[in-house]
Amino acid sequence: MAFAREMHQFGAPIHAIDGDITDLWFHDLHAAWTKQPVAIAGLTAHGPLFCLERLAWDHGMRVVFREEHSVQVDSEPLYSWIIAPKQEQL
Amino acid sequence: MKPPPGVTSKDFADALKQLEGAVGKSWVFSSDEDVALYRDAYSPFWGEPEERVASAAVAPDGVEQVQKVVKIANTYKIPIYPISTGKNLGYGGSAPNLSGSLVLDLKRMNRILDVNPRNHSALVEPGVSYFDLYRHIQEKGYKLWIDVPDPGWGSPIGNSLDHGGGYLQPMYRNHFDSHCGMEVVLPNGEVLRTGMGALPDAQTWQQYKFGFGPWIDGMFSQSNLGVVTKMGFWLMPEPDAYLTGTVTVPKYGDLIPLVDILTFLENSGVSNAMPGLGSPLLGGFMMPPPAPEVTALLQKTGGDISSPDLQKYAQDKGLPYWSCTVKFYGPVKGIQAHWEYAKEKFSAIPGAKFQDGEFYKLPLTPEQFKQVHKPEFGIPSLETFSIGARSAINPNPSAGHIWFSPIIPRTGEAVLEANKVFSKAAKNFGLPVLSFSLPSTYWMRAFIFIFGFPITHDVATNKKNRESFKKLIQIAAEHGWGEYRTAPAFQDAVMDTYSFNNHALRRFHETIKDAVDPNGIISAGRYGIWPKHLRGTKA
Repeated sequence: MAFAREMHQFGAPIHAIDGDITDLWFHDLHAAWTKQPVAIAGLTAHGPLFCLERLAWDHGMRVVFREEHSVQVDSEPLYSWIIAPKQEQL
Repeated sequence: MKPPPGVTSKDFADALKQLEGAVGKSWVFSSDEDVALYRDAYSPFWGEPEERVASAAVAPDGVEQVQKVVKIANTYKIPIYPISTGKNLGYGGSAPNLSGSLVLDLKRMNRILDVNPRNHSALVEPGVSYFDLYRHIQEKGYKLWIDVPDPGWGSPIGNSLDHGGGYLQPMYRNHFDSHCGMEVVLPNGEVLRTGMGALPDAQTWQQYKFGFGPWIDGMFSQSNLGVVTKMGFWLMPEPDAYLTGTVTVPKYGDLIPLVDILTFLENSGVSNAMPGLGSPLLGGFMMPPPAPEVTALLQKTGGDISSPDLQKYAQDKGLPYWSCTVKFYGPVKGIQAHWEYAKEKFSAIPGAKFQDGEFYKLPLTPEQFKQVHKPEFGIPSLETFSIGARSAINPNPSAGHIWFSPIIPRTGEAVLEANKVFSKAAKNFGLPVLSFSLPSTYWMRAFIFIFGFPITHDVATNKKNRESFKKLIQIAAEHGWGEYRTAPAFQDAVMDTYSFNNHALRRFHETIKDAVDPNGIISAGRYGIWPKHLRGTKA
């Protein structure tokens, strides 16, 4: 939550998920990425990142930053990551 | 960048230049970084020399560009591998059968060409995803449901061509059965339309499948005879309501009449949604685990679920051996009457008990929407990916899986026999053994078992699992059970088992392949069908 709060302070729209990215994908990202590639950042488990990465590929985006953390939620490590248009490699 | 097999580096470079001219430079992908995206994330050969990988990819945005790509491929004899969205993980993803193939990525062909709300059909291109079609229907306010697989991020065309299934009424949940008409770019670049689509200005392309003369649509599914560029689908009108009810039966042998009655109800159209079989005693997938006493009894008897001790335990505890949840779509009065009728029929089994389940008037309220298994309401979902995540009950999730999915007869006897056979095999191969598995009910007339084989990033483990997988294919075939679909790594092995009359079926496929695609450019090896110049070298 601290991560999300900090991002929100920078003016970024934030979304909470509970493992399932369907709502985020259908109501936000799908429409946004269909118009144009838009960078997103997140702190999630592997599963949501796996899905978002593959969906992003279809819109010319890549995971340009990924880091596994020692912090775990429900026995699962968290990853911080950034998905951005292909040319914006970090 | 490694050129396709049999193609020189110069020819490949020339071909890529021509492809850039055909589709635009930004839609030809040849860098290692771009091509890596087409790897199969669940490849059983992950990181090994035998992993099937593409040489490059090209993404046309229309039929004319597909024709140009096919013609260039013919000129240079470049193997191409069409994908729609390439997300059939567990059955191969977007990686080709033949390493070095050029992936023909149809994701840009994502137009929804027609949705008919009066006769409930759609005509779409291959890059249209289930999410795209669902959104379109929602935005138009049509009272139509699409039958989606789970997960629902793939495409109607790709899933149906691979014989995928969903969750609605039987006439829709067999996705290839529910298609009506297709457009195909043939290996020579010519465009073909099937069914009524062969009639210029036809007004019934999505209404009548067969047109006139031999019906050839099946030749383009699980196949490599063309590039499907349009396909029609029948959609399900939104029903008034949805109802479920569960019957439980007490004894081991009750599975046999339970399945027979279920089959009668489905084949009669009384139960018209996808039913679910379970075992309150034995637990299993998506059910609570068995009681520790049950586990101990199973260990004592070597997994014999018919042991007198286990039967006595079930009787003493009042734990049913089996359950069946039947489901209904339709008008409220109709589905309530159908559930009452189903109860009458199941009452023929002594000791049968009934429990009312879910009941929703449709459309779902926002609260209901959050709670339901969305594919059963025609809603695409990615929730299944969160189920497989690491958790207290799944502490070591694998990197992926491949599906072993044999078709077996729709009888209780076959379910019991298949469990004995597969449990014994699993023990012999050192695979995890479930206490008992029940089949899925995607298809009306047959059962299908779907077992997930773990894929890891450990070469030795994957090698062992591949060998076990191939042995299971053979063991299943020896009992008359065949795979309905499999990942490219095993398609030759499965096709080998369909061997009636000295492989007459495969020889027929090969005869057609040679006639239609003499250069063997399209999806070489897909479903065990190889072009002449590669035949016998890959299987």
